[in-house]
Amino acid sequence: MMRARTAYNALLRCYPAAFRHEYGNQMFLMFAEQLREARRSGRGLAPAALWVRATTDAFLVAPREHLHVIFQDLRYAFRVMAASRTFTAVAILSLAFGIGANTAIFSLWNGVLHAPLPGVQRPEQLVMLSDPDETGMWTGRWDGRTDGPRAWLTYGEFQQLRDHAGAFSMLMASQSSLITWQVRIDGKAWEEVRGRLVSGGFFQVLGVNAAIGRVFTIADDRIDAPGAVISYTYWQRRFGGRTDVLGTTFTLPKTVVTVIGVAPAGFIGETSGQQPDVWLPARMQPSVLPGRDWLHDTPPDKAMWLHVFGRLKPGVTPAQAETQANAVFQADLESFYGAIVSPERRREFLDQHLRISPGARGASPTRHRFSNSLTALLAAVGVLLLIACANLANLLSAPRANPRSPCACRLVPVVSGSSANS
Amino acid sequence: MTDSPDSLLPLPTAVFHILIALADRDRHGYSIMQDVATRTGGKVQLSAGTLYSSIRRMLEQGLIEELAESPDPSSTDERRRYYRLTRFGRRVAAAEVDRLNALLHQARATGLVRGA
Repeated sequence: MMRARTAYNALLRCYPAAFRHEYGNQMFLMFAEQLREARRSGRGLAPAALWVRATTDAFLVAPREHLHVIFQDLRYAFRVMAASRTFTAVAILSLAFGIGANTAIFSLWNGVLHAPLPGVQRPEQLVMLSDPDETGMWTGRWDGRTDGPRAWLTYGEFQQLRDHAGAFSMLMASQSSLITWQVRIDGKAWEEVRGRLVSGGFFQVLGVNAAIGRVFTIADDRIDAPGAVISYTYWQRRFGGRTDVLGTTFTLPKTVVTVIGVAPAGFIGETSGQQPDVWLPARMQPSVLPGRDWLHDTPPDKAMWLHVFGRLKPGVTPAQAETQANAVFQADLESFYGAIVSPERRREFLDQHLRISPGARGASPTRHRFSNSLTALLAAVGVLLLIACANLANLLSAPRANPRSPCACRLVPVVSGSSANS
Repeated sequence: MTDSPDSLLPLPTAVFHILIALADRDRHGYSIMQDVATRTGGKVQLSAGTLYSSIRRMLEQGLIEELAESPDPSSTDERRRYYRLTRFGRRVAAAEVDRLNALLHQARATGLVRGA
């Protein structure tokens, strides 16, 4: 019978503790009687059938008893709240404020500092060859001794890496700054759109397909086809989600582009916290950003304006990829500066290098700037919630001293019930 | 505790059987189970979980009460807990019987079942 007691106690664990303490012994007494009868009956399967019934019973009745305990606690909670409305209001407001502030700041902290790029396939496989924290552009000569690893790359450098760095399965480039253009849509009034120039492999590297129409492909880097891909948000906001948006013309001051596709919902591109309306091919830079040709550099000046992302080939480590990328980069620098730099200054001009960093979170001009302040803010609201909880605990513990308070009344049956059966 | 017997109707089958078992005498849990099994010819077998879950609910509703001492002086097992039908429990049982009677009359009146 000892083994039966142990096994039945295990079944009793299915029931809420209060129910178990109150009726567990009685239930076992009853079960033990039934078991003795079953054994006396001489039917070999009778005890087994009794165990099956007891097990089924536990799985059917125990959930109902748990629900009963939950409803009992809820009823008690509402009774206490209704009895002291001021206390309830203070408690709810304190907790709501604390939890709300924590949720809001945590969402911001997580979104800005830690969340991977939305809508991108396997973002953890992305790497960046430029500085994720930098935005803008640099023209002239980069001094690696004082400026560190390259923040941005030129279009020519990107092309060299794309075509010769075999450690990467794919590479793409995107303008590091978000640009605002004045456009006329289908010849109507001028309006603003925000966007950036990207290379043909932009969407392929990020693993993104079009919601409708098509996105750019690597082949677009080799043809002059003035197409535009618009974001899903912009499509909904400006065009009401109409499918006839394909073929719509955007007239810029120096050129006209045609909408060829819409990016999928939730996709914002490669820069965290920025939502472009439109992506245009990088090859169109001279006509959509007139004034200087950023695609072709003339020694000794370079136009560095691109972030470069890629995916490593299987089995290639970031360190191996960085070594190979720097070899290609150095060869390109030598070819670029070789003819104009004296042997004495050659080392100074070539003292530049690339650093590979994880690209899952994408680029972000704000992440580095707000990292410390956001973390401090999160800690501050965490402390605020702790203070709110401490205040609430103080308020809750105060009425317990009063024997007529609901808290004190609640404790009586629990204590007496437990001790009566112990 | 509920004041109106009708508010508890219809009674769950197990509860009604327990009320009937306690109608003529105070009983402990195993005795209730045996009485129900005997009266129903073994068709209704109350298991421990169902029985004590029902007893817990019936105590809260005031249908039964637990006795402080065993009503059977010959009982040697002091661990057993005995239960008694309350006056309210008797009224609720009577109300359930009336309800079932009314149903039976309706069934007979429509010719669904035959009977006196």
